[in-house]
Amino acid sequence: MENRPSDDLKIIAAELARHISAGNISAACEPLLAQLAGNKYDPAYEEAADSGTKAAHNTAIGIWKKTVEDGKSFYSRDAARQIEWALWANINELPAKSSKKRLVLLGESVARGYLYDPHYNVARELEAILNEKSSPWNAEVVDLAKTSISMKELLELADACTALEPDMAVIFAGNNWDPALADTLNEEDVNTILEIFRQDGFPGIKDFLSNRFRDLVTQCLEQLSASLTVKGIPVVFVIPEFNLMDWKSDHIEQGLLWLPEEKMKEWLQAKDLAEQAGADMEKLGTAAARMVALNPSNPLGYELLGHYYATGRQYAAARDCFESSRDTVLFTGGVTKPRCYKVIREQILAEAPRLGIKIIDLPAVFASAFPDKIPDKSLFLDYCHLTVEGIKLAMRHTAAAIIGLATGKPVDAESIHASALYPDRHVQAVAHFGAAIHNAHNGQPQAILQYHCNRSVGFSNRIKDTMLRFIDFSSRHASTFFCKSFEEIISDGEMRQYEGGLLSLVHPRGRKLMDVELVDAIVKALDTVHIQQADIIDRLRIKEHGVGPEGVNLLDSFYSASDYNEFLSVPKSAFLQYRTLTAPFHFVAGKDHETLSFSITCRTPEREEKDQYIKIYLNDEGECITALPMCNNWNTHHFMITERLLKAGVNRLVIKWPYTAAPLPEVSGVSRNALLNAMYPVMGEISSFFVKVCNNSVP
Amino acid sequence: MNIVGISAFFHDAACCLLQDGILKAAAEEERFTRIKADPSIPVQAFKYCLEQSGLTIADIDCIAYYENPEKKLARQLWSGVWGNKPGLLTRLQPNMVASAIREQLGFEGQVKFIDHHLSHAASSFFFSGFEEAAVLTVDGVGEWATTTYGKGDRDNLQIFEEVEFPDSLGLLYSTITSYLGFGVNDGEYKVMGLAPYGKPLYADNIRKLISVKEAGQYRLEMQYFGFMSSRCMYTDLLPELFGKAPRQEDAPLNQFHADIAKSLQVVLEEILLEKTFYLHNKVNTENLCMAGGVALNCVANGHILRNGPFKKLFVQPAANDAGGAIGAAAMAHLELNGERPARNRLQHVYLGPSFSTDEVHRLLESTSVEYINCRENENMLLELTARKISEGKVIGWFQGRMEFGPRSLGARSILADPRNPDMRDRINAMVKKREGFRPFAPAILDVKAREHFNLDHHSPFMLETCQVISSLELPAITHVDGSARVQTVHRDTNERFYGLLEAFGSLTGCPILLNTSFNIKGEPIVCTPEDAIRCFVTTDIDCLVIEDFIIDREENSLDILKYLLLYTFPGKSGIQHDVYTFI
Repeated sequence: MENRPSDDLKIIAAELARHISAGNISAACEPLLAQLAGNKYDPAYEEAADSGTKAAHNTAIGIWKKTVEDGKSFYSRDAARQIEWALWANINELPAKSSKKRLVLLGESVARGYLYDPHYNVARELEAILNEKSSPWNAEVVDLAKTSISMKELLELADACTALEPDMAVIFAGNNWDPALADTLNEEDVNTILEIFRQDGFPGIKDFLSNRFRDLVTQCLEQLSASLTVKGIPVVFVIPEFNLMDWKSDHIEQGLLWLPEEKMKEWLQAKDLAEQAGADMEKLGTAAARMVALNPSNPLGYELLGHYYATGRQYAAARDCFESSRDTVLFTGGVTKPRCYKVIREQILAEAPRLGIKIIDLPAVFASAFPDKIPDKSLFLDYCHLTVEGIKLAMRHTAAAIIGLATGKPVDAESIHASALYPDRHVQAVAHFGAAIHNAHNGQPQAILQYHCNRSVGFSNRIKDTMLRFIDFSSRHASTFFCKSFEEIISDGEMRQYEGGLLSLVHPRGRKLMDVELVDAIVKALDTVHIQQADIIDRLRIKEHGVGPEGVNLLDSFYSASDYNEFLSVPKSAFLQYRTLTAPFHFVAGKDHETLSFSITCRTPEREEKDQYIKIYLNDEGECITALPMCNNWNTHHFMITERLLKAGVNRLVIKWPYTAAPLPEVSGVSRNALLNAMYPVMGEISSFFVKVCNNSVP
Repeated sequence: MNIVGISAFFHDAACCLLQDGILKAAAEEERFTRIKADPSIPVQAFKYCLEQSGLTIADIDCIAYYENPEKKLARQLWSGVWGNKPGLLTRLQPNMVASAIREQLGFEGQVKFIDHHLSHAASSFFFSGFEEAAVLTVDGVGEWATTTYGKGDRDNLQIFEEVEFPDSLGLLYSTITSYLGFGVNDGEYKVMGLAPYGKPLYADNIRKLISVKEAGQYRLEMQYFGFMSSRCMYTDLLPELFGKAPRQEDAPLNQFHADIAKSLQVVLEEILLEKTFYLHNKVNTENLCMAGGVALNCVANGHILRNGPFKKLFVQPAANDAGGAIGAAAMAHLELNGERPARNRLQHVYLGPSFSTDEVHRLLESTSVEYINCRENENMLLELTARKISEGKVIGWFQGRMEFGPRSLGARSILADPRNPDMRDRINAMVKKREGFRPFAPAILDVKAREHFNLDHHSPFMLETCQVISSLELPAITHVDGSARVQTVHRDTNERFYGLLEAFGSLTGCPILLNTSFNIKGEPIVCTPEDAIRCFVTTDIDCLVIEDFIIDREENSLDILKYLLLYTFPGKSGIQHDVYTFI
């Protein structure tokens, strides 16, 4: 028995490989392949390969594993999943059902009470409200919410939790569902999206993906219903709200979608006008409206227009703008912060009633509670996680719905009081400090970082020790795990509220940030309680990051990144890539104010025009340090910055790429990266960027 | 002229930089990503090579890739394993390699594709220092070739015969590796280590698996092999042939398994020896160059050298696919310049990143770790280290530029006293966590090598075995058959390691140290000071000697740091044990 193909087929294989490699896949290739393959294809291969991913139905509920002892079964935390524990409620064992009614809470980090948990959380607030003396429906709340839970996990959990014999379920979710949408897109869809983009532009893609999302949400609700309501377990679904007013889009979300030349030029002009408007709100409103009209894919126009409307107290219009801004990111392909898109909300509102699912629509609840305000930092710690005030308001309405379902009589939420539970002041201080970190690492502006740092020290003076340790390890070159100050934070357990305080505070390998804006905000906040750290941090930064004769690689994450935002579908590359017109960097100059010599290798791929320059600005961005010719190919340039322009300590350097029009590129593949490259053209790339102290002033 | 060589997309992705024919830098991608045997395009290693050489991407004249994607695709299509699923043809990505070089490395210039085995051959011959040599490459499979025979003559290198897939000594070895319950693509060296415990009782059975043919040819009896048609390396006939079921991964090893390993090793050596005689007949020279994964079988290498027709053997120290990057770059250099890249023998493989004393000091200053600072006092560093080793301590040794290739050679090493009979078990228990039967290797001062080992030439790369003839008892580095895999250490290539061996010799009369790779089981060898500290803290290694600093576990309370470092996600592996890696 010869278990090998005939040698004669090698010629055919070579011919077929030649065709494929040349991109010449014609009808003639299929017979060649058939000759090579015969009937060999066995679908059992793929089934075997897939079998590993099909999780066997087991008896776990989240991290809690079923154990049977002395004939009694109970659920206790699975030690093998300890690394996940911080994402779930800090409960070792799920209690056996008591005489009380049992309510299970499922949901995402917003349902965890992110940044307050385990000291205070959504489940506790809800349970406390339901157990008020006047409440007609006393209940225990089993907290099964998990930070970062996906739609798939949520559905599995909904099915598994019935083993706990709940009398009702509350599901507080919808923020984490866009990865599920992305998972439904296959190669054909990617081609379809590109084709739609060519024909109908951004609105066409929005329609396509919105329709897909509607189907997905409907399927999800139907599955939840099948797992719960069909089995006689009533469900209250809480639709999350978003921090519309104070959460800003980041540089990834503001990537420049391809537009025809004139439109893009006009959009950029309108953007400049909006940025120059200052206090002239009419000028701002006009420019922002033009931005939105020209490019509805970019959140910036909506944000500015929303700001214009909010300033003019036109709250409904402002809300529409901020919601549109929030929703643009569904279509960018970047890592987006969790959010509940309008399409999700609308589909839940449309479909849940027919499935017997009761809805608490937080956007409506908040709008009703604060008619003269757009949801903002008073209700949110970041994009979607609620403050204590937000949690209490949301749970009052949820409790009203629960009691209404349980008693069969509608209950007015106004008649329900928030509980007397409050996290203590230090817990709130840690929550706001965690919020400052989380906001910073997600690319939010300095003002919001300062707000949370100030709130933090305002709540508790004790937070200063944690802050001092944080600014120490953040300013060091060593990976956070190795820093003594980090060890001390962990030993003291001060930051456990922040996803357990361990993995949330560290960084991916080789991607540590210097956290300049955040550290500066902390230093300023400490200053308000008479702790002066500015000089100490300056010295530490110079010692750890100061530019010396040996040079500093400015492409290292310390200097080239301020947050962890990135495009999802871009494979790792040996250079930095920009889809906006600016590339910001930091570097640390020594006290001696020496002249620094820079060397940069960069290109503007697919674009090259005479009289167009890549411009480099320092600090206030007012003075152009140097202008480099635009070039489609890699070129290395050298320039110097003299001591008179430098600040001792952190300097900010901004590279501005020129915009020049290019036709919508042809896509040679079907990958998401190819799609991204077509829709969001690259404005500039940097392969190397070094700075060192210059010994003589001639480069 | 600056040429970058790359290997990727199988396992052991690597990158090197050849500047005017001089090998300036080389490193495996796994060392940076910490993904064992990472097969992805070596983005990090590429960046390292540029930075190390003070170059930018604009300075690179050519990138040479160690394989021909079209030929490889032809072989994959011929094997038929993808079947004829609808739409298959449009899903294949034959230009993936070129795309990755353009899109992920950003390279705009000339890309050359060098055949896999020619890359292996070039990686050996052009760095051997031989003016002329016969060249033998042996591995699992490249494009079509699995074994090649070639001739190197000054600036010329030609392969004149090859054995084609599926006939493969590498796949034979991997198949038996799989049958013995070890992972394909990383368990082969365990089989080699197991062999001395066995007897060649099954050699005849192994011979039934392979027929040696005329010239350089041999042929696998494919009825025993499953890798062409199933997810298992072997068919049911193989266990039938041996009369025993395959060993499961976690099952205990017994004498039968050792006998199978020995039988395999014997047959491999027989065939290799026969083919080297054939090669010698074709290429009349006293020099032999070898490369390819099978060339890492140091036992077979020693056998060939002792019993074969060649007087001198050069094995490229990164003989696996990682080293293909060097060969590809060398061939590109030859094609572009008309001359070989190097005339001198490769003296060392300290081609990876190094870290300055200042950098290490800055790191230590950030930690809670207590350490002894020996800056500007190297003697103190060496004497203290030697004393600790003599006291039975196990040392993590991190010095200078990292090695390229699978062996730790005194830059990223774990060192211990070879005279200590408990040391093998101790190191296994504290850090390596590997099978107890596998031996550790000795490093010895070059000038003392002949006194202690039956070795008449330098062995700087730990790539051949020889008998231990020392008057000293060296149980920790002597294998059950009295052999050892020796590294001779030379002052001009690793002065500090040489100094340590001298210091240990002065202190104990033993100029030898046990030298094993500085890594935790399942992880790549450490690359950075942080990797070294992590390995030290999370294992039970007694001391870490890192550049000019000594950290002693006894002087530190490392529990919290250990907890933190263990909390990081477990190491990933890019090794695919699936037979499809070969297809």
